[in-house]
Amino acid sequence: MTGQPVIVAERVTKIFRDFWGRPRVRAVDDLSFEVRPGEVFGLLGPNGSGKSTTIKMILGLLRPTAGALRVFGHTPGARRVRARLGYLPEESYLYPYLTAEETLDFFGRLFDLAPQERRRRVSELLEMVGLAHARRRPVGEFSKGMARRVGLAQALINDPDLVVLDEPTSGLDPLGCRQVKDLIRTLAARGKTVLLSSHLLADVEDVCDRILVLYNGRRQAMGPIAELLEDPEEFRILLRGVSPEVAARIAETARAMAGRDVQLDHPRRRLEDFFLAVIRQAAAEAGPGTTPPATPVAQYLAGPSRSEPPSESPDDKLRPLVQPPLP
Amino acid sequence: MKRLWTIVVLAMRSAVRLRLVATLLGLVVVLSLALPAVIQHDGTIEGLVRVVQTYSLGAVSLMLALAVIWSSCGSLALDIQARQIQLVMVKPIQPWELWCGKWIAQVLLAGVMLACSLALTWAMLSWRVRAGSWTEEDRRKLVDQILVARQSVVPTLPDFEARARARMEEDRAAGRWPEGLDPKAAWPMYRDLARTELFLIEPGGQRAYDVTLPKHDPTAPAQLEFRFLKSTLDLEAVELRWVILAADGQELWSTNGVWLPRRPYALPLPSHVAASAPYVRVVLFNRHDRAAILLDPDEGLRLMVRVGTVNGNLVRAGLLLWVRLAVLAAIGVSAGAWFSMPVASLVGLAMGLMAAMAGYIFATAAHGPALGEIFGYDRPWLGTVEQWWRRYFVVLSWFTTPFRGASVLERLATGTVIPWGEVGQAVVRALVGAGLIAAVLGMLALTRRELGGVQE
Repeated sequence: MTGQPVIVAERVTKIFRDFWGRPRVRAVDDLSFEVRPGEVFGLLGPNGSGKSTTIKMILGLLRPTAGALRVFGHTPGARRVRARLGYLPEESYLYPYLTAEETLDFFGRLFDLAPQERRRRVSELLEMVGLAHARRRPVGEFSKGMARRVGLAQALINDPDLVVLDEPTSGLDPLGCRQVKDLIRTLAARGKTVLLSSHLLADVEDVCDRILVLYNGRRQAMGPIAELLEDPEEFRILLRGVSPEVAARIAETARAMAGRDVQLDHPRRRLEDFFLAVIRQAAAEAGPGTTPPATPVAQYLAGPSRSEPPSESPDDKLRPLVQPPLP
Repeated sequence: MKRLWTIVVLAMRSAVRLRLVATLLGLVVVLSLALPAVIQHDGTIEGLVRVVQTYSLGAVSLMLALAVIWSSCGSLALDIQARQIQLVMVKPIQPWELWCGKWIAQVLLAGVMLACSLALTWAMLSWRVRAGSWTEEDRRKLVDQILVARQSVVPTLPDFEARARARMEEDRAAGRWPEGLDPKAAWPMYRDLARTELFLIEPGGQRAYDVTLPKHDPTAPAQLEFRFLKSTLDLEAVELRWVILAADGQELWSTNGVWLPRRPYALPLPSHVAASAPYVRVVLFNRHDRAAILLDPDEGLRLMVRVGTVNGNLVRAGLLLWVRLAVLAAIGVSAGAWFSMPVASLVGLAMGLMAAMAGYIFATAAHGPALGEIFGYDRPWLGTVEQWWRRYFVVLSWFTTPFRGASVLERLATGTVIPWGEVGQAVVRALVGAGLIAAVLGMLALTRRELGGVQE
């Protein structure tokens, strides 16, 4: 995570005005932050906190009222910036009369991808998001989750260096949520920068390296997620394979040494892990012929780990989508 | 350019899959085939052609104009409203590529519909005037006068302005000048008077007119068209003699007849008259012993010669209509870039209305408004208001330039040529006039407007 920051925001303010030019809403207020290359950066906040406005200013769809914003060292919205960007909006703003395949082909053409390369990527991305069987169905007939998957695929059609995901797990089932989180981790492992906006705390906690918490358009907290969530005053001892009696005696000893109360309980699995385990087992028992869950997205995007420097060769930029899956 | 064509293909797909193309095609078929079948004509072959060409093509043109305005307004306004533009504009596409792509799709769509309409109208006309339905004379008239491209040629007039100026000076010197009359206001009156005198023929008198014929088909029959007024207030017809002479003075054709004032007449001329190009002299003898006659100075005397085929005329008419639709599409796409769909539609319709009033707008821009007739000429503020009013119409006329000119459909129905020069002028006017202004404004909207909208 070294090198020039991918995104630099310096005292950015965005005020929406009414028809007569009078200030109506101060959506973002004096916001400063940096996003470094290769990190997963989370924008966290309740509805109306300024997350989407910040993202749209980064994309060049809105202009800051005050302050400065640079993306890859350029003005947001510059063509060279847009060529390196992938964007998944909070709603799937797709053309309902295009099929899934035509949608990806359309966005691939806007990136001027060669026809052969475009066809290959469209095919692989559709398979990646589990929509290969519905490639010729109009997007307008899709459920919200399916449309979201097409939106995700179009955000990756150009193998972007910066992926901006606005509420990426919105509308997805738990399996889809997990796949998106896998995807984000894999993108980061390949040296890509991910800017993620969400109000689902668990999602952010799972994937983000650093977070920025917004409220009323202002920065409330920012930093590495481990540092923000760690409580240096508390310690936890994890014991496996011991009897309840032994655990009780250890707790008693600890209580005597610390001179304070010690809490003893069983750790709980996360609901998401439990759900995925159940689904996988059910699919395995049903055997061949049943609809399998979508192929894990991460497998399609597997590439060099984040410790390796990202390649600058154009050929390398196009390669990752066809590289073999990680073991 | 690849991105531009990607947008064109997207817009065409949208038109096909949202059933716009099917609906428009249905309307074109109904208006082109059903309308002339149900409208009663006056029983003449000219009446039939007028109904088929003017009414059905007119109705299709109006329908297409409204459809193009609505559809082009929606092509960007609906994308912005549904926020699909947000996904498109974060890709490396230039605003001009997006604007041009949307516009070209609208122009292509309008072109296809117009071509279908022209083909259907032509098929309908061919079927309705087929042999056996009409007399031989009707069909000859059709072939010689209606389904052709003819040019009207008016006489070359001698220098009447010198005479007008001399008379004006003479009147001023003799004190016959009305008090307070501005020389600038008097000059057009003297000029018109001198010009009108050239078309006045005294009782028993004669007058010769020199006519220079353009490049035309010398084998095709020509026509002499005339209309006159009589100096006496009665219904008596006037005996006239027409003679046409070649450049060497040889008589090519002559006829005597009795004609009524105020009515238009068309006399067929044998093909050898037209073959004596490039110059003929037309002599008119007024045989009436008491009444003078006055030919209408604008359209009172003209020769009609064939300069092309009806097919070429149809193509040029189609191109002229297409250029106008292209300008409306440009206005619509740009209105959609700035405003929401309902507002953009209203702006587009207002521009369409202005296009329909192009003639009035040009007349006002050229001559100024006649506010004095309404408020009285003694108002002190009249001059200033009229000046600004005229400037306003000059600006409006920039937008309506491509819609200027005589009615395309009227000329098609009367077999009057639509020259290539006019088509070229219309294209240039569209490119440097309203079309260009609309394009620049539309691209400015895509560059300057915050397409992210309020969403919190």
